[in-house]
Amino acid sequence: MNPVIEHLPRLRRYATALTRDTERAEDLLQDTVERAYRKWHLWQPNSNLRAWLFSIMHNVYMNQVAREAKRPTLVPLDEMLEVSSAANNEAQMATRDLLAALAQLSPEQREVVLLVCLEDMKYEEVAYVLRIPIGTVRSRLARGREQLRRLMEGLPNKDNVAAFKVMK
Amino acid sequence: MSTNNNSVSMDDLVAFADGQLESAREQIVADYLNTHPEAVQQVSAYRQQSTELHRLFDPILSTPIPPHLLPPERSPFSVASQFFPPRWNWGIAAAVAWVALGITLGWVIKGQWGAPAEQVALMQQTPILLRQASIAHAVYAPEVMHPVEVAAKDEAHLVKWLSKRLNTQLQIPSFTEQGFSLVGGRLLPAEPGNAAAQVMYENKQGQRLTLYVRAMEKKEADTSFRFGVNKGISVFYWIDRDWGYALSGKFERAKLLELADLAYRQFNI
Repeated sequence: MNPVIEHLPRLRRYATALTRDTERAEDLLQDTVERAYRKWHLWQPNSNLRAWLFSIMHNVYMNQVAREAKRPTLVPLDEMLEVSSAANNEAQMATRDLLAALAQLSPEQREVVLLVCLEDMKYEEVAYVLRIPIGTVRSRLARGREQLRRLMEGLPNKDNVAAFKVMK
Repeated sequence: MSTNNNSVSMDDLVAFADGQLESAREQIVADYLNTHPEAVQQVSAYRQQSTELHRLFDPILSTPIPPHLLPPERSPFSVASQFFPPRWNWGIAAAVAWVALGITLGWVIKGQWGAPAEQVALMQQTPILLRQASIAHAVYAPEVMHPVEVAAKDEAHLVKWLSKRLNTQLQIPSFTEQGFSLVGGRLLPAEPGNAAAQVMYENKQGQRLTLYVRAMEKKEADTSFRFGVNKGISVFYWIDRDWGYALSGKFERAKLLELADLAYRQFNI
């Protein structure tokens, strides 16, 4: 009956991955849903509702990030471990590493990485959700994923990504 | 980061890992991977990231969503109350609130946030109402010679005929005070296997307004007014006691809402 409902689980998963904090994720989801309802009349029927909702969540999240930039917050990583189904120490370590690495990405990189890797969106859809050119999606994604890889593997971060380009 | 034909960039490797590489570059990247084992490792690491993220966060998908995340007064079914003008009839506002409450209680009682069968049915049906009404308007409103099957001068016959074919006591609302006179009405097919009625009105400027009425599938909850635009035609539509109503025209939203409000009140005297 309410078409937004079927998208809530995915929005919530995305919010949790973005914030890595279940409480903040619920706040983000709630703010997003409220904003979607306020702007419901702007949604064009038969258009991509999922992309529209994710785009609203992106705006809400970016507003929160701007607000929080003024005050540092601690990220309770341990709480997230309960969410994961990890049963052994090694898996918990990997989870902790991934969460820590995710936390080190810039919010902009984190969004692109999660929309592609977790939400399995096409680059075009990501460009629509974030309102950025597709070329920016590609480069931001490449930087984000490479940084994630280096963090996970304990390699030094490479600031100059262009230097990575390899000649055939 | 730009790419040319001779180089393989990190963008390429990432897109390859995601299965989103443009086909023109697939062979170039495949050749590159054949001779660069470290790039193969990279691609594998990128894919592993996706797998890990899913493993970590997918359990959230099956966790029930707390009810407080969907407060009743904010459901899209009552979102109309936010754009109703101040003169909006309180009786309808109360009815809308009751419907919203009923829907919310329904959700709470069912204890689940997935879409039960009738909710799915309504989800699919409501856009049909919007679509059918707007198409019927688009087809017949511009018609000069035969806009209706039965003209307004035979209004008594029109009401009797449409009521019989729709198997209900149809009321034809009046918009004369708003400057619209009745043109007449016609019978239309409506899927699945129903008949629909279209009643047409016209003002002195020749602008036409159509009211579309059809029986909806059983067990559908009432809705408040919903607004949609299809092919440039604005529509306010709602479901009331198993009947779907849609008022269509190329009017401003506020104007159309005023008319829809009027129609609703006349149906519920």
